[in-house]
Amino acid sequence: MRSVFCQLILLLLLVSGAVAAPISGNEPLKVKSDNLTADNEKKTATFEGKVVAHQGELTLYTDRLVVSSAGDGNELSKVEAFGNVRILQGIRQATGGHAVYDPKRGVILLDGNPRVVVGDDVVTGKVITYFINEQRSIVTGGPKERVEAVIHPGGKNVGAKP
Amino acid sequence: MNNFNNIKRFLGLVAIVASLLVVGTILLRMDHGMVPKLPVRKLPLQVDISLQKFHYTETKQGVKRWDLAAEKAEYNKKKDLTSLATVRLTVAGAAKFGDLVITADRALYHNGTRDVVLSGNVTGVSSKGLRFSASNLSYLASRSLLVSEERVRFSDGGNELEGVGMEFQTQTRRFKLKKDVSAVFRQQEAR
Repeated sequence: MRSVFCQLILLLLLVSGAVAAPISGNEPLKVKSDNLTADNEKKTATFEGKVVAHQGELTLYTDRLVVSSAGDGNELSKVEAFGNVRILQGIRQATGGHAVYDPKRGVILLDGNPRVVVGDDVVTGKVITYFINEQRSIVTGGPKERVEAVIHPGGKNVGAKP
Repeated sequence: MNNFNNIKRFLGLVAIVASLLVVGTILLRMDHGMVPKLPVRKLPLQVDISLQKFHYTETKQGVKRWDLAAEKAEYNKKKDLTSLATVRLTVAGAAKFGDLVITADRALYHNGTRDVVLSGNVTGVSSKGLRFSASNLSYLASRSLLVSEERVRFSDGGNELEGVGMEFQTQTRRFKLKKDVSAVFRQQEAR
């Protein structure tokens, strides 16, 4: 029982740590890419080709990033990454085929074979959702993609903080 | 009798000389003193017409498409090209976007294609507050398109964009930055 409890704690730390302190606060979002297409009517900016986005300690790599804003102002409403998504924060790494960040709700959703790796420890599922303000993550399995975790108790990453 | 004839000849000669002197003096004065100098400076080579406060408006079916104004314009008939200085190009956009005003130090207006090549401190400002700047920019009138192969910088509120090479569709306000793109988005509250 104690072992199961420890593994759950590890899982929680692992997943939340992997995507913790992401696109939050008032830090500017900085993006570099090969090219950009901006649509003033749709209020979107689409970055393509070796896209790298930074916000705070978080770095995101992807093939295509669509930044959407709302209203008359420049309020960011959604940031969506497509293809070869890789999110790094320190030693933690989250990967997937697609990610959506909703700044209003403070939620990042990672899908497309999402995978979180910290050292040797790995968690996979169908969707990984991270709630920024609560620093809480939910790993959801699907009919074909069950939640899987490979934890190495006693490893050097045990108790790693986000 | 002979002396009298000599006096007549002498007076006739004096009268002829005096008449020639008067005519010569008049001609000399007309040549140098009477004709006023032209106040207009010589035009530079290959400039056929020089205009001050140039203003040209392009309309289509009664609707203004764009408006080109300059402090000075020099027309070269052979090349069918007009060189402009201190330029202001106002491109009318769709109703919801409003006008786009572009200023530049210099421009070349191609009379045949009606394209405008702007250079030197090129700056654009949309009625919605979008700003951009570049060293060179071309307006392709037939496609309502602004293009540049140089580095272009955009700013919109607190957000900044820049990249090398641009295509900006003036009617829809869609634009592309072709390479080496960087952007900074600052989270702002809705106005």
